[in-house]
Amino acid sequence: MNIALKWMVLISCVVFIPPLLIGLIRKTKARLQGRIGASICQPIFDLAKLFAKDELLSEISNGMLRSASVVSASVAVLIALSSPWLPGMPVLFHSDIFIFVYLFALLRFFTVLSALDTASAFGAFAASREVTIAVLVEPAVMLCFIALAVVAGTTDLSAIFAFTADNLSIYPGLWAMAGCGLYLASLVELSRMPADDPTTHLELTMVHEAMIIENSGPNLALVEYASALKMLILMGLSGQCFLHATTAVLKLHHTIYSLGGLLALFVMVGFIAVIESTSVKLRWTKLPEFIAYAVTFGLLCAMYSLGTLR
Amino acid sequence: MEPHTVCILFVQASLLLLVSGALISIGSGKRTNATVLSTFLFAACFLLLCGCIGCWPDGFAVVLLPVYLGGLVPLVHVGDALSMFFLAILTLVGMAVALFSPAYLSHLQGRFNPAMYWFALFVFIGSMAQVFMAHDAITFIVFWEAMSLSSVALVITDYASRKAKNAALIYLGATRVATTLLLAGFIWLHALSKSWMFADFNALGSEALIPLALVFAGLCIKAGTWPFHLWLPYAHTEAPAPISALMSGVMVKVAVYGMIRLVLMAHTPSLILAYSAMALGIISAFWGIMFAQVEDDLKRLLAYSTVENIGLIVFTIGFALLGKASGITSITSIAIAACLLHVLNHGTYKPLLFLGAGAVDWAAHSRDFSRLGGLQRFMPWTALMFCFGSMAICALPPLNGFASKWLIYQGLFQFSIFSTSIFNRALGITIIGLLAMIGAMSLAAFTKAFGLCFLGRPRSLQAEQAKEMPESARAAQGLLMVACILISLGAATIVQGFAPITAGILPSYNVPVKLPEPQLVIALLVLLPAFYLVLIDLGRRRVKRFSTWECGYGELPPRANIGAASFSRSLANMFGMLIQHRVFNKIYGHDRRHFPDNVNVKYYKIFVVEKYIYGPMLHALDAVGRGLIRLQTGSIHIHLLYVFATLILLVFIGIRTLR
Repeated sequence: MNIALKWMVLISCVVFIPPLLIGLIRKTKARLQGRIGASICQPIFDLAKLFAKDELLSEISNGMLRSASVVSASVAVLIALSSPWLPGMPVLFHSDIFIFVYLFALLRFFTVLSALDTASAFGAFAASREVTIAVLVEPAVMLCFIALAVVAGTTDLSAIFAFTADNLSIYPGLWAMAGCGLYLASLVELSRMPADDPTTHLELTMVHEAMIIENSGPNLALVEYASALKMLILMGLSGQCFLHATTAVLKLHHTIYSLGGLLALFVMVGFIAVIESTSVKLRWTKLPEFIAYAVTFGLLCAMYSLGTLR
Repeated sequence: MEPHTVCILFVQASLLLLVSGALISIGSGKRTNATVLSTFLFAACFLLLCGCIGCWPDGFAVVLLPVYLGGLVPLVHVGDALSMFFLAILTLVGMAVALFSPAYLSHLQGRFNPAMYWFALFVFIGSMAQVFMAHDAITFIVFWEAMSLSSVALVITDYASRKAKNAALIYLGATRVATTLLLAGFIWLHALSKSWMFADFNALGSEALIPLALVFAGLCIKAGTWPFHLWLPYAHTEAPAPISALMSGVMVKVAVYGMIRLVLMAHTPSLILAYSAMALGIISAFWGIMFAQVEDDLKRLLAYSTVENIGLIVFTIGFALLGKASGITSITSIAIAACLLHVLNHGTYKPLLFLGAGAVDWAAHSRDFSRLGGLQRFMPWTALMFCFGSMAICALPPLNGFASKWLIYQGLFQFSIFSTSIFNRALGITIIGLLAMIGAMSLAAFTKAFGLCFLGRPRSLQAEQAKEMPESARAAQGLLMVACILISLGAATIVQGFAPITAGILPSYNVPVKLPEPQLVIALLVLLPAFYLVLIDLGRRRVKRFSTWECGYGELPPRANIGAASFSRSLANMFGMLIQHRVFNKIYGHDRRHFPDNVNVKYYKIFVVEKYIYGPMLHALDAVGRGLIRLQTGSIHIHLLYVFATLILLVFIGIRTLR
């Protein structure tokens, strides 16, 4: 496959898959609840409709709300184009783990500021929770990645997730643990069920939905798209971790891994729907204990990597 | 004339300008003209900067006056690569301060002595410059003292304020202890090397460990690392904003300069010093940022964040020492590059933030988050520049803060790959995890600082009537912001350019990692406008304005905005062991539940180090003092006896040592 075609595939994936993932979750949840549910493509129509709408903006807004949604969306696209969430695809530039984590921080910075912009009590308290959660989630993600990087001998994400590094494929345990850690941290980062309820709006225990409560029209569309992209990237990477774990026993041709990565992505996202249908939202005070599991997985990964003396 | 000669002339001219500025300000008394003096200061800083850039990397040596300090060493102004690097930061911040000061001082009118302010400012900047140009212990300590005392005078600019007096007292105490330790270390080193020159100190072997540790401790106090950070939040908060910018941006870096010059350049690196510097650094970074994010005063928040950043810098120095001691050159190179780049970065974005805080204070007459808010509407430029500064200090890509943070991470990563002992590998990985946590906490602190000051609804009448500062003050912040952006773009080149500085530390300087900045910047520059067009052009449609969603209760008062304590409460609770805070509620009225007449809420913080370490220490000191006061009888006979006894003791010691 030549490089231009690859880029076209990648860009169309970045544009169309994120809303499909949201659709998949909604459909799976509906089926599990015994409803038929809307079509998987419904979020695409929703986004298109939001883009065409007028915008309702708070009088108090100082302008940060609108610029922040632009920054969020463009940074999310930047991460999606520079990190190997889909194996075998080209990247804009080689993103290493530190850039990856700090680009997420950049995204968070502007989301938090946009929530504070309108003097909404909902938004502001959600913003406070968001920065609190990040203090635990960031080390968890960083530890999982750094353990993989220590084994791979490089911090380049594309090299770590290359499916060619032989020294990595002999550690299925490390990959599985890193996958678990990343998955748990991602659930929190994406404001999914045990951490946050993405389906209701006016609960005081909310994080993401309460932060974007003042966004509307194209503004809302950009933020929703950015958060769907975040899901694409994080689920893609944690899915690949599990895929790598299987390579120890299952040697396949490396072109198949592109499809495998896509499949893993959808499986991971489907699993979110299963978790959301079967578990309840944790109380805010219990949330640090939940994230502690992700941190623990990160620490275990780090210990594992220490044992792999080069 | 050769370019080098011209540059040396620039240096001489700038030194003369500094001295004459000081003389003019003290001479003009009540009729000081802020514009003239700020022009003098700006010109001096600008010339010095030009001189440094022109002389790079060979350096200069200038003698202006044939003065012998203490009859021991001649007063020489020597700039090598390391000195010039720090001088460049000083002059950059100095220029911004010169631009910012006149406008800012207008709101202190009548509450301060302008002649004193300008005199102390010239002395402060001049003595810092000379400390950077000192190559012997005597010059260093003399101008170190001048720097400390003039900064104390500047802290107390607003002399009527009780808080400022208190802050100056605490700061003065800290500088005394620092100077004592430094002097003890220097005299000891002199006894070992029979010289006052730093080059001879550096050549000493492992016998210099204890005096070096003394010097290091003295420098740590000045730098404000944990547990000596006590003075920092007081002094930085009460000083006028331009002075806080200088103190935080440059003065604490003087201590860092001392560490590099004396500890890092020492011939025999010591593992103990390396590990203790790393430990102190990491603890300060964590401690500083943890307290920063619970602060409710903008400048105190910034001051605590200085503790964090200085912690990171001291950590990198320890890390470089460790690399040097274990002989891994690549790690030493990365650590030194990270250290110098972080010094440069912190020297640009922190003054930017302090000047921004000064602008807020000037416009809204408060630094308290509970009286600010919504300033972005009234002060759009200040808001933009403060936002840039906050992003840079949170190490968000693509700004300059990220470049140095990235180098620290890369250094730790290389360390955990290449070191042979499992302890060091584990150390590297653990610290990476900790740094990620510290990074997230600084995000919490600075979203709070920006969000509560500039966003939302104004929380007081003064905040509602705020207006932008005059152009000169905005230009000062703009200068620093442009410096931030230029450093972000040229980080890779700058890191390569550190080579001449490291000549005294390393045999060969080679940073084996490549900074990723340019691609990031370009990608963001393409993506941001593209998305802006999507929002504006595709969205070329009506924007209706309506009130914020308030559950249908109608317009909410500004008090319904989130407060500083509420914003940081959930994070503070997570570290409840260290950030101890108490909330006292008292509700008055007979149907207190539904119709309270009066609600009284008080929020207290308990500072652990202050309460459990310094409190008992001060009490003990007090008790000792009360015992010793009996010696001071007030009778001249007894005092003459003391003098006589001291004389005999000194003669006795002298005879002992002569033998």
